[in-house]
Amino acid sequence: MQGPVGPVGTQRDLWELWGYVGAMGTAGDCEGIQRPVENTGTWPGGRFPVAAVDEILREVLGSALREQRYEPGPCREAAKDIAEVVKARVKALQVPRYKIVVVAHIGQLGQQSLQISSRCLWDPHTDTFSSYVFKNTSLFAVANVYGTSGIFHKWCFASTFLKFQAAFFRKFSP
Amino acid sequence: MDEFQTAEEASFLVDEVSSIIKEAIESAIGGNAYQHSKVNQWTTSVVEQTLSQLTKLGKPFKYIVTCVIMQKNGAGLHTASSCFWDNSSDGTCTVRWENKTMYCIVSAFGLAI
Repeated sequence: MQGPVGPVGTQRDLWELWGYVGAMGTAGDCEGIQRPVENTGTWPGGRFPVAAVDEILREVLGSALREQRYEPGPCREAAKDIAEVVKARVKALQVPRYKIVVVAHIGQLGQQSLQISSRCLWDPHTDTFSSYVFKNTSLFAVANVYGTSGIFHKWCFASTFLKFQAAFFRKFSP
Repeated sequence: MDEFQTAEEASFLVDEVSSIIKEAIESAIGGNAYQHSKVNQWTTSVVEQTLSQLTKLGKPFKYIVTCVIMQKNGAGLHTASSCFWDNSSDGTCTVRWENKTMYCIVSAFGLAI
């Protein structure tokens, strides 16, 4: 679980940007869920390496966007490239029997507000996610990696509320 | 006939999922103007409704649903995804919706067990 990310830069007119990621899943959420399959067996594989994936996200987003100003064309390509590169590097960790979904968002820092939320129906014994928020003075980027096993123990809703509000415009008086 | 039905039951049908998502968006935010105080409740509502309708299909899938709601004021946003999965059974559907004051992008990923 990541804590809040600090404010941007030290300019006089600051965009405050913060992101919070939390995950929670309770078995109680699933009481009414029709279970299409029963337990498909014991899990022979390892755990999804969340720390390693966090590191991959930090490296890829940082190196791709550190010096980048927001421009529609390059950022469109950057979003696709980031998703592909992160997927390839997570694949290279060779965690057996995991499926991987990578979602990347890149947006311009403007006076807009936005919210990104996701919810999953999966098995909390084996499935998890990793998330990273990047910002510079011109753009922000959010990347989520979801790892699900090819197995089912017990249904559970897991909510990842990525509350990302980029609309606080503060004027710092001298 | 039995085999065809089994194959359909076990596959991710994009049209079916797309209409589920559209319904969820319309019922949560259709006809509303962007309000900062409500966006949290809206994204939650879209995602939860989509996921519960997907669950009711009763297919052997794990689902990941993501929703972005962004105020319209000229700023740009790009979203991309990349997946490592089983091409024959897994699928994704993304719906982009807008009105005069906001954009909404919902993606649903279905991963067969």
